[in-house]
Amino acid sequence: MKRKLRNGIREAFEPPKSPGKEAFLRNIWQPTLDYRGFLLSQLHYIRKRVWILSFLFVMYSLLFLLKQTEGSCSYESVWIIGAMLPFLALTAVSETIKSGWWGMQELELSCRYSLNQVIFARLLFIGSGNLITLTVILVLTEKTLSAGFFRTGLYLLTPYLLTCALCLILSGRVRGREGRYGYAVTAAGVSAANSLLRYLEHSVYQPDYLIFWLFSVGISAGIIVYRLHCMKKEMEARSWNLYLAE
Amino acid sequence: MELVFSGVTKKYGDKTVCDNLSMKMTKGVYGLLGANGAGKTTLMRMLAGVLDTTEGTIAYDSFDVKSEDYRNILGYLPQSFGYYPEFKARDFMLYLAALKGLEKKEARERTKELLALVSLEKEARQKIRTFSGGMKQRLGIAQAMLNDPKVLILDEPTAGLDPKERIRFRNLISRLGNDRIVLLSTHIVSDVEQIADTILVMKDGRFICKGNREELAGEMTGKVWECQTDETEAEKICASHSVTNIRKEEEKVLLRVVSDRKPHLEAVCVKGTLEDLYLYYFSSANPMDTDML
Amino acid sequence: MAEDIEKQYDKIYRYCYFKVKNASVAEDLTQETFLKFLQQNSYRECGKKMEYLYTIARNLCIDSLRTRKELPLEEEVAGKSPMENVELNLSVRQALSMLKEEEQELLLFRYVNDMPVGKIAEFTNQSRFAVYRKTKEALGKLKKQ
Repeated sequence: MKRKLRNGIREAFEPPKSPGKEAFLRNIWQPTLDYRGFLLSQLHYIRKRVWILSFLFVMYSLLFLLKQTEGSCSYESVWIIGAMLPFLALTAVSETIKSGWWGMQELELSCRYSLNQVIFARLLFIGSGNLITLTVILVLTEKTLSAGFFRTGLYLLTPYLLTCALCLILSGRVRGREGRYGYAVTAAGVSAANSLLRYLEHSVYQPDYLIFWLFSVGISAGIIVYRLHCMKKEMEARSWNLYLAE
Repeated sequence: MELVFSGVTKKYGDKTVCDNLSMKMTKGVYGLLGANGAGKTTLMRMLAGVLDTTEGTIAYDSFDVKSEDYRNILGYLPQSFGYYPEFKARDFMLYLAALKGLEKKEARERTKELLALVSLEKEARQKIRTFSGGMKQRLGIAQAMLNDPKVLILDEPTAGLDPKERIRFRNLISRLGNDRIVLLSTHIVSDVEQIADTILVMKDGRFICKGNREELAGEMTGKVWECQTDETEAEKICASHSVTNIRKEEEKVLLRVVSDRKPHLEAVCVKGTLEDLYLYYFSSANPMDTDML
Repeated sequence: MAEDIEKQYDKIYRYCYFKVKNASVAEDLTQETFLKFLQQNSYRECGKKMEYLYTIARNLCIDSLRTRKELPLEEEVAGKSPMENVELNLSVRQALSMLKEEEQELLLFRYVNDMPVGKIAEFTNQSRFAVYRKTKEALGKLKKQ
């Protein structure tokens, strides 16, 4: 259709200015950020240390792989990397629940996108990041071990999930920032325990003991799911047991 | 625009912190007055949807207090709050703006506006850990207004503010009260006296009176006395009654006493004020109450 | 993507003005439409916001026309336009006023308020085909003038 005609029609229907428009629109203004936009915005607030640590661990695994001579079936890579992973877990958990540590939880609870959703966003990004990190480390480590992905995966997942589980249990019992030393101690403890496995290298990492690893991973995963579920319930019920500040 | 709560009760085990509170609030400024530990913060938290009630209902128009719709029109300043350690004032505002659903552009504009409103525009890029108590409090007030809330709940907002800041704050709140529901809690009578349209006095988890300044002062009719005596008499009276004001004039002492009965033969009944009411109800409470004078 | 609320306001205002032919009444109706919408719906953008707004606006306009029968129709104020188009625009206006109200409304929706044909069909309770046909007819009549 001819542009002139279209403009003519447009112009014909144009009403006189609405004088109260500005004031009215100001009055009914609502925030317009949608959920997706909110989620994305949270990526920026996850501290760099999470990504840096992930990167360092991946680099270390890579170096290990390069250093290893082909076919040498030493479990060194597994117990060393396994000893490092608790600290990855520590960073992940503390970054996820930092609202309580820094006294932001009450403010966050009262916002449109509430504490629940903030924690979900963090879990999403940190969880995905860690998943990728663990997968890469697994692939690299498996190459030095030749024990198959399943077994290697269990050996690596155990210290990681165990630390997550213990830290989450701790978060239910210890309040405030002073508690963070407890988290560090937990991670160090798991790390040390894992390191001790070098002395049992020739037994614990054998296929016969696989059931032990499977069990550990299962229990840890169960505890994590349970604790997250509890935390979600507490926040929804606004029962203030979660971050009792008084 | 109505915030209505009814039968609101909060119990922790055997302890009842808030007992059957009810009120209907519309546009204007409401002052919640009470001593520390009277249950003010607990009530504020429940009204902000941040704490569950044991019993009772709270709703704003058709929104339940726990709904996203309600949080969307809510601005809340908690009694105490923290900040992520690396945050500067501007970061803090932008972070909360995202949580309140503001797009980046809006967030930046509102942050600038609000920091200027609370006189923190110069400190926008300063780390919050370098802030004084008053500055942090002003920042808290600023964040509460990011989403242009219809309901503004401020828990002890004047804590830490110096007299000049307090006056500025009062003026701000008066203006804001024109188009929204503002509820502020305090244990400082003068804060509330000047700006609240309705005052709620809370003690031991209950509302002991509600009304505007005149109505509440009216409750004190026949209970406020002034008398002039010598020092020894004055001391006797002070020991056995609630004295709101003492002034020495030459050899005589002028006393203003709050009491159900005449404290002294020569005492004269005078018109009561909100301060008198406060002391009447809270005189056996903390010595900190002298703050309010 | 959520449409800019200002654009939504403009569209509803244009529609109301077309219906009631009075600027201040149209403004009141537009604002009432938005307020009613917000009362009944969550602030959140839902896909059908414009549909709801138009429906509310239509009902308000009908009520308004019923109760304000004696309101004088305003002189249509011509907006500013480039010189060479003034003649064309005047004749367009004249031609438009010759059309049936239904046809004028269709043209408003389709070419000014950018309403998709499907939505027009839904709102005016007829088939897409009918919308196409009537729009074409209306345009044809216009062009003749």
